[in-house]
Amino acid sequence: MAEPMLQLRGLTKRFGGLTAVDRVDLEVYPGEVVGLLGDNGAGKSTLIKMVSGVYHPDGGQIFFQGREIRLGSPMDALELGIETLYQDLALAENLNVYANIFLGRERTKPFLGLIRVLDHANMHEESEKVLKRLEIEIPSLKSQIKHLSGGQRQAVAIGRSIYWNAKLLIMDEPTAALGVQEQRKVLDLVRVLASQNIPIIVISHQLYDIFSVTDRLVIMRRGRKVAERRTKDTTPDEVVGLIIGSEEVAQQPAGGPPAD
Amino acid sequence: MEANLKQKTTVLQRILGMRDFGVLVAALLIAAFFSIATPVFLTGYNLFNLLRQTAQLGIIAMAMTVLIVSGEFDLSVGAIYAVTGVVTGLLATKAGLNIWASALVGVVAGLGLGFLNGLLIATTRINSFIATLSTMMVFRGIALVLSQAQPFSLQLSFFMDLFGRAELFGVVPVPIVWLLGWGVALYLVLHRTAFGVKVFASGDNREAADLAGIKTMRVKQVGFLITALAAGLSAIISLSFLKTVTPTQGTGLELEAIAASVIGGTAMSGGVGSILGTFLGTLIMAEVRTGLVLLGTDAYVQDAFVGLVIALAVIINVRLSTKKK
Repeated sequence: MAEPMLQLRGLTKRFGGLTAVDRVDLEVYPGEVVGLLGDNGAGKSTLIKMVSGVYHPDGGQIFFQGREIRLGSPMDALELGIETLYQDLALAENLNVYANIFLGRERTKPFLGLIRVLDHANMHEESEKVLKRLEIEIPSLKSQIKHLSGGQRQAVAIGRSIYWNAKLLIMDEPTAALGVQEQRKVLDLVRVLASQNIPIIVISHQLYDIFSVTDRLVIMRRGRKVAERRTKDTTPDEVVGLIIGSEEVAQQPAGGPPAD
Repeated sequence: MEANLKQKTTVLQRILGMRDFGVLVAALLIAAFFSIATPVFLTGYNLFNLLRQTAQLGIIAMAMTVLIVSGEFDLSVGAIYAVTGVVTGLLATKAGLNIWASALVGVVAGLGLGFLNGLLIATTRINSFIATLSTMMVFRGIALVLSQAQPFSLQLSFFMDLFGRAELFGVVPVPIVWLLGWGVALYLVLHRTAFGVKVFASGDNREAADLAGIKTMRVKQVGFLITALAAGLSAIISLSFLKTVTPTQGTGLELEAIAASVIGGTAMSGGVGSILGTFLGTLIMAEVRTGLVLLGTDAYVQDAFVGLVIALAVIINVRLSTKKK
């Protein structure tokens, strides 16, 4: 098998006396969609935030493209091509579409030889290209984010990560805030990206989403990785059992919901 | 049909950024009212005088806008304005230092106070409204202690001409030139540079900005330096024009600056605002004040009127922003 794009070894994070993530190992391969599952407080978001440079691990190692990396800030992760889409859609509501796509990495051009000013035309054009590549339609790239629908916002967020040549995309609850039709579109988008060989980690509570879009599932419980399954070899019932920690169900994949 | 409506608003917005356009219309309407009410209002002398009086407030209000857009406030600008004046006056009179060097030290001292504001907020994460409320009192105390609560009188010099007294082409009072120059500089910084986008993003959605790799605390700290620099420049213009410095000068200036910014369409919650809007907001406040003076209104009524204008502006702003949604 190919070399993993991302490899975590014994990754650990503590908050005071609480071990939020406890010695987690994980690999993600090119073109693969991995679902990260677990109940609230299982440690999924904390794990993800270590990979995206928001938290610093208290133990363990992160390898990216075969090399060990240390992330001091979100910018370090972005520079390596690790892009993260957060569930609360980290966009600036009063800024327009292309300003958000270029947020923190604005394009500039010289002005009077003295200062560098924003290059609106360039950002507009580049944003148009990337949204087209994802087959996303937004009426005007000059409209403020607050005038867009949830699906359009998600599309902008995805467009942003893709524009920056994401080598790994992490999506935290990508469909949580969306209507049914928009959920479909976002899931389609995930497949489009995977087919372009970009590996994706998806965190979701929606089992239907996870099963329709992932290749492999990793299940966490109380900070630990408790199981790993190929999506086609498991069932929603087994996964639910693993999430809530009912051993019986784990042993009987076809069984009903656990009596917990 | 709905798409049509949307298209129309964006076209209208393009005229002058919609909100700025509204403020401009308001400024013109108020000017028209006073022009009809009193013949003295629409004279070159009065208009230049009005703008000159606006200079000090306008310079600070536009800087305040940058800070408010980034999601912070600076209530200590009035006190920094006083400290800059007192330090300059003290060095130029009591220490016998050259006025240029004195002014430079005064402005740098003001910048130092702005740096302290930024540091305080970065290290303690106290709400800047409270943090600068306390530094306002501390800085005002510094101005009073340094001056022993006494005013200073300064000698006329070329320096005074350059910053306060000269008239460009024999007609335009030089404070107006400084006001416009500072306004253009801040316009470029806030609306045309990458730093400006970071200011908007920091006030709009701080978490998103942080996650996009923007060092929002650094952005806000720069904002506090900008308001301190504005207070310094404004103090220099004031002492040049008046030839005097008083340690109590600039009391209440911070609230006037915030008011001008709000009248100009700046959102107190951050992420929305414009330099041109604030410039027009300052103008509206000055129009109302001078207009009332020319009408022979009781001086005590003026503040009440400005208060009404602020309330009206905020109501209109809220209406506009909810309608757009």
